[in-house]
Amino acid sequence: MSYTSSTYLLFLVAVFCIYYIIRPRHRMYVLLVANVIFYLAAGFDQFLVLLLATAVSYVVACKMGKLHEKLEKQKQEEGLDRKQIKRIKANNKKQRKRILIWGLVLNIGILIVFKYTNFLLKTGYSILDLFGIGHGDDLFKLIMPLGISFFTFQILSYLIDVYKGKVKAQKNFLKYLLYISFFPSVVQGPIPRYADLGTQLYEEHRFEYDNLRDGALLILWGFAKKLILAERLGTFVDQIYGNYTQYTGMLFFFVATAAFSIQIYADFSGCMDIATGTARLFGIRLAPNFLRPYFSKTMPEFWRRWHVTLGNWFKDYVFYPISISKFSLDLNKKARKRFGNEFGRIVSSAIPILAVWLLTGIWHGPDWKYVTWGLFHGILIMLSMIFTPYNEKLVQKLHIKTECFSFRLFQMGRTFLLCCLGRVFFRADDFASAVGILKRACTGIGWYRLANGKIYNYGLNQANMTVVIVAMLVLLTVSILQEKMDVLEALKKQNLVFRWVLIYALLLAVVIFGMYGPGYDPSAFIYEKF
Amino acid sequence: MKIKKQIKYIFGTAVFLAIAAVLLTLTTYVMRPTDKDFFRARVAGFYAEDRDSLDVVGFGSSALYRYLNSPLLWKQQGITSYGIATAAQPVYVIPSLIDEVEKTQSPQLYIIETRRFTDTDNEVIKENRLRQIADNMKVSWNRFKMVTELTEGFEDRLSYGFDLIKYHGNWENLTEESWEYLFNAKEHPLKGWSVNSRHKILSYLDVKDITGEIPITEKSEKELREIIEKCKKENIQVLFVATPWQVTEEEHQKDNYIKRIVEEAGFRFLDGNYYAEEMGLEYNVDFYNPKHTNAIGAAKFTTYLGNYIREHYDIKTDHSEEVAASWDKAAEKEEKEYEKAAEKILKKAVKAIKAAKADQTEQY
Repeated sequence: MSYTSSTYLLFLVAVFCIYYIIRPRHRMYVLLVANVIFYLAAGFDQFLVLLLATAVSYVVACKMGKLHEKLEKQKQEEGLDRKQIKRIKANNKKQRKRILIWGLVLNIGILIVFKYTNFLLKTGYSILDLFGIGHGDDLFKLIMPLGISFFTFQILSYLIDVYKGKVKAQKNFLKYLLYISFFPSVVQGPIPRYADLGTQLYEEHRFEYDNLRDGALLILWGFAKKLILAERLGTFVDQIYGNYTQYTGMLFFFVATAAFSIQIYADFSGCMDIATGTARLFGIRLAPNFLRPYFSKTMPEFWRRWHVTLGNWFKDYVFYPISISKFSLDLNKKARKRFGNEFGRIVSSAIPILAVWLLTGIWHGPDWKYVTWGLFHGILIMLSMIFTPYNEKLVQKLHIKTECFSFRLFQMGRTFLLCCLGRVFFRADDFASAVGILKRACTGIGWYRLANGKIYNYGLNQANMTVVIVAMLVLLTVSILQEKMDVLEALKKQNLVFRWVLIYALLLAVVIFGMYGPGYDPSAFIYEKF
Repeated sequence: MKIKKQIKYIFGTAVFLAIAAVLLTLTTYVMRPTDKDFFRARVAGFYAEDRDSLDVVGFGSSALYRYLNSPLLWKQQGITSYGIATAAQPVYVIPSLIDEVEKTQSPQLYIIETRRFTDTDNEVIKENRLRQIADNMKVSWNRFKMVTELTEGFEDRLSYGFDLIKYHGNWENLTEESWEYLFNAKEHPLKGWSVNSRHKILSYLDVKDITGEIPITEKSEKELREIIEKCKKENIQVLFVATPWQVTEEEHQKDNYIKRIVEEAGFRFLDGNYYAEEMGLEYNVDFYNPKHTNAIGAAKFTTYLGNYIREHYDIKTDHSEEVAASWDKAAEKEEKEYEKAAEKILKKAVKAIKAAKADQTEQY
């Protein structure tokens, strides 16, 4: 059930009505039933995988929860000295760790089986080819459960938080299933934390008019981004990337890649608006996932604004644990001794940074192009760390003003360019195509392919290109406003007529300029395939 | 205070949704495509007629809109008429069209053209034929019910109920004329008649001695009987008409079958093929293809129909000055269009007849 389909809208209206008709204390079960129906629409077999992952993690978490309770009881026992308590704690932690490892292995195993089996097989076959060893070409026909990457990470974060004692294990299986399968976020995130979403889901939510208004507006805004802008740009990008062997020129491929950068932003953030708006209808607030990433001045800042919940996940569960591990701390000490404080710090940061980006690439998809993309960003961040002090010195020497709009614009442009470079790998069909595109981009400028009206030869005629430009300007304006204020709150303070005119204009824009309905073939959300 | 606020919110939401519904409806009308066969103009033209100004309303296919010269009927008989007809109009829409008409008109007589009842391909409703009528009707519960019933099993079913889903992409093709349909009501200059100046020589089959019957399909008969039942129940006066064409013996026997059902129910059936001679139709002049009359043929048919209606029905024709003015204007336009068309037809007819005679002489 696509978030931009009429079926989803009808489903949402039905769930909303039933949710607020039912008594508050039973409302969470309405959401649970809705989650199940939503996921079953993708296929019963896919639902079984979700159920399996949920059941496994539920059992693991409960076991760890019991150990926590046992520890608490033991700590209360009288007559125990500090040494004994320390020993009990260590023992308990050891047991919990063992169970946690099982939980992580099983859930990551489910993810690997369904998402990476064929990738691993293909890679294996390629390696055998390198050594001239004969092999078959068989691959498995496996389903790809909807949002498996997202709900797996959600489960892993829950297990780790239960292990650490940050959250208590949820003993009610239905409540836990509700948390894992929450339909607005199960497909594409944002990746929630149990401490945040879990508590909200189980509260008794009363109907608030503000939630209805804000939720509906967010959904409408998400539709606008996806159907008006993302779908249109997708036509343009598909034409070029799908036939890249016919084209050459740096400017030409830059325009296509820049278009893709905006497409993927409009697509993904549009979906997040729909997810956030949907959750808001039920009085639930999801974490924001996009904070105007193309206004970033550096790559590290970009990754604090793009897919925020994924970035935070890797920061909390990969980067920090590696950084504060004994191995990393020892390496840090040695590196500082060898290379000095500054460079030593950078050297010791390399492992957690590259680990995060390698895993980020792999998470995005079973293809070497994603791994390349991930490592590209890891290296960029490393380079950013290395060159920041030199950049600062250079800027000082050249008396370049940094606290001005022009410099910020330069930084944003530079960050966007670097981002586009990585996007070539992200968008291309595979690693070989990405390399092919980069090679062809180095052949000439290619301006003639865009000038004199030729830009309308790539799937978008002049009228549609005008819509794209207007939509981008509107998005830019709203984004600038969002940097300065909470736009939804600011809108509420305006006069009724102004608000309604704006909303009707947005509604009519989606209805008229949206790419949907018979004759169109709207693409699935880009991040849905992860 | 809390209840007051709740009422305010409920009222506000209702008003908001109502305005949204109106805006979306108007947008639907503007986005609907204008077709080269002018079905949109014809259906929207019906909605532009003054309330309760139509004496006669007809439904049917091109076998009606090529035949019923409404301005001529007005000129000759003072009867206002309108044919809500579209190409190969599915007969299943007729009950809903009657309900649609009754919202703004109180016709003294309905005409139901029957050719589609005899077509075997009437069994399956084709998308384009349904859309030609449905997607030009005003948005209403009646229309929604009609398309919901008739599109069971269709793909993209929602786009029938909400045709904006199908036509919103027409924003690229909007012209000044599109905005004239903002309220889906635009006066048709010839009151629904479609003038044709083409010509083809046809052969005439005298059907007067063909009395046998061939049943129509079960589905068509069921629909016919349901329409008859509805008309009886709602006390609606209806004339079933088979317009004249190059009919075959088999087709005429189907007309006989329909005639019997209709007359058994107490309604009249005007068989145009039977009365072709009385109408003065010349099969080498008055048609442009085997199934349709041209302007000259239409005039003859309409004249006969007008006399038939006067003879068999008591139609009161008092109309306001405003209504009369509108129809006089249409009649003026019709005269000009008819003259132009008739001149072209007669030229072509003379040429064609000469050529046919020359062929015959050569063969002889």
